[in-house]
Amino acid sequence: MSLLSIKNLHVTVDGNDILKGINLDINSGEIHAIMGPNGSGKSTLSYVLAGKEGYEVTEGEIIFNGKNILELSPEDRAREGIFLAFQYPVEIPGVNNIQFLRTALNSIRQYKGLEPIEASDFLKLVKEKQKDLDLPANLINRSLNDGFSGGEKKKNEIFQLSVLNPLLAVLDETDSGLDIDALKIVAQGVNRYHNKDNAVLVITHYQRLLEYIVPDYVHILYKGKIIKSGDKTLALELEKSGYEAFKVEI
Amino acid sequence: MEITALKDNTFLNNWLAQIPTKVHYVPDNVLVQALQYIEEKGIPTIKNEQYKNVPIESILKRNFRNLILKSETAEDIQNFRYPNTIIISNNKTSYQLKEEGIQIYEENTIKDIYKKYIGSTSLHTKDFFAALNTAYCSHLSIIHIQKTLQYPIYIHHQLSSHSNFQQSRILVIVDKSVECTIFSEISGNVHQPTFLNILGEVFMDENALINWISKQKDTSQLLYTITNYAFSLAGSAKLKHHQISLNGAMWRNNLNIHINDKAANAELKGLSIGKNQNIISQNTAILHHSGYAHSNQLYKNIADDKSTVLFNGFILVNKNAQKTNAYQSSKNLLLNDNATIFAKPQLEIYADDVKCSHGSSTGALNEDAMFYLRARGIDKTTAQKLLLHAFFNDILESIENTHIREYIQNQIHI
Ligand SMILES: Nc1ncnc2c1ncn2[C@@H]1O[C@H](COP(=O)(O)OP(=O)(O)OP(=O)(O)O)[C@@H](O)[C@H]1O
Ligand SMILES: [Mg+2]
Repeated sequence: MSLLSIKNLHVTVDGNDILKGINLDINSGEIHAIMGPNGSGKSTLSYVLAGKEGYEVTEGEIIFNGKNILELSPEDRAREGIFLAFQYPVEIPGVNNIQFLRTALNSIRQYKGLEPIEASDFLKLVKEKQKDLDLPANLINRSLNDGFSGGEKKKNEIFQLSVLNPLLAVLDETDSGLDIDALKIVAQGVNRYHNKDNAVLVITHYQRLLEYIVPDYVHILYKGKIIKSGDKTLALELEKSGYEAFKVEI
Repeated sequence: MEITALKDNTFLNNWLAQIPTKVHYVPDNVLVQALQYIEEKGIPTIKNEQYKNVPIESILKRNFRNLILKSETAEDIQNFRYPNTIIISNNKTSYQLKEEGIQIYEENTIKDIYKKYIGSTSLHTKDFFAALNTAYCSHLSIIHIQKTLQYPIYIHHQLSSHSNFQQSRILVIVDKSVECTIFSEISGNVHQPTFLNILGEVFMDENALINWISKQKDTSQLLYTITNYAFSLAGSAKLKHHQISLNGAMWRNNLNIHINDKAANAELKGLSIGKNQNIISQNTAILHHSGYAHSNQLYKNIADDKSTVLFNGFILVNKNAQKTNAYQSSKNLLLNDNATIFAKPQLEIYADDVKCSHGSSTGALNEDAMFYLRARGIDKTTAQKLLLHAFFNDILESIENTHIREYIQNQIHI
């Protein structure tokens, strides 16, 4: 049974058809990449998975870990194990980064019937992940994303991913805004997180990221539809010829 | 006087007839002015610019046609919670003071030297309820602070459950270079609709410093309160004022700051959280009569349910008040479509070499922020709480006294 199964998904936003029949199956242990031109619906797909308001599913279904999640609130989807690394992480002044993360972790634990994490264990976990990602301590103790540089925000998303340890990580253009070194560190972070029991869905414009986070499958999203799927060589092909070449194939 | 003849003053006259007039401590000229104001202006209606959106007339007519006036007994007054505690309750002042340097007087023990202060801030010529208090409040508490204090003074306006109409007047004098913290709180058991009318005049001598924290909360939803406060600042005096107004049927606060001499400094912070059908109205007036002074206001207002929250901030800079810095900002958060917020800045500047600014913003909770928090597994209610605390925390954080700050933080339930 696949971890995530999307069937014939149609989504409208403000009455506009954005996703027009997406089919996608992701198994535990796999890494999938979605590439597609600006405005093709990549972020829309990630928002629909996370349950953002205003994205209306008019047809199709999303089964995650055996459950139909379309009726679940965003928080319950996160608790079920869906994590979205935002393309544009939101700045929230006045909400402390670490306290927020602890609240999030404990909410997820509570949902699973677990006790809140011990303060010392949490601290240890945070320290470890912070080191892995080369994040300065003062940064993670600040207000959530408040005044963070573009790259720092992206790193902070992966920091949250590694602390919350979900079943499915959807990374929406996590590579954009990262310098070369940061890109490697972030990719290492994702690879460290990834194992046979979880899955990663990488949304990106650039083949470069896929050299570090190596996908099992690459899908091309075009005007709200997946027009082609293949292995990692598809990304290379795309880089060479651009989307125009594939359009003709439709 | 012809205008009054045209006015239907029956309600007011019947009403005033129920209040005993035995105010001895107010200077004659002040008393005359107050009575004139009452007669000429009458109870403010919603057509009155100052009371627009605060239907005070109908509140009085609906709930306070018949006044019940009873005095407190000694047993009613017990709660000496802080080392320096002053309890003011319906015609009585009681106190326990751990520290020296605080003198307390009442209307019957008032010394002549204090008489010149009474009414000198002219509150009674600006607001009906200040005039009413001046002419009809028989009780006065004088607090004279002569030494820098280690502990805060806790002024507890303790509500009486016996009377439905309660007034108190305080006069606070802080001597030259004296520093103190004053925590003023209104609370008590209210079982019937109750109207509370407080007037306070505070005089700060040169270089004096006051941390004044005023907290208002009444969960009975039966208490309607009007306060009129004036702070008069001499040279280099420094006032830090916090106004925290929480759940309550009505809080209407008039706060006048007189900058009377050079280099005085007034910093005003406010937090209002309206719920149910609360009316919370914060009215500030910073009057820069003298230059080289600094005033700064930050008011944060939240309106939930069917509440109405108002902020009117007036800044006057006289032509002598060169080199004034005056800033004002109000940030407003609407949590419900049925709630209302009015924020109105008003600047009158007659000096040319000044820095003044005002800003006001009103909005709902940031939806993107809500989604971000929820997408991490945090439920809607908790996410909303996190964002609300983030919105107003800086107001509370700036309360220097830890004990008072934590006490107030624990009183806020959102
Ligand atoms: N509220 C809205 N009303 C109408 N159209 C919208 C709305 N929100 C998004 N869209 C449109 O949906 C389409 C898909 O947007 P989406 O953000 O999913 O694209 P994307 O593939 O992530 O693009 P990018 O690579 O630039 O991030 C775009 O054409 C966008 O303009
Ligand atoms: Mg996008």
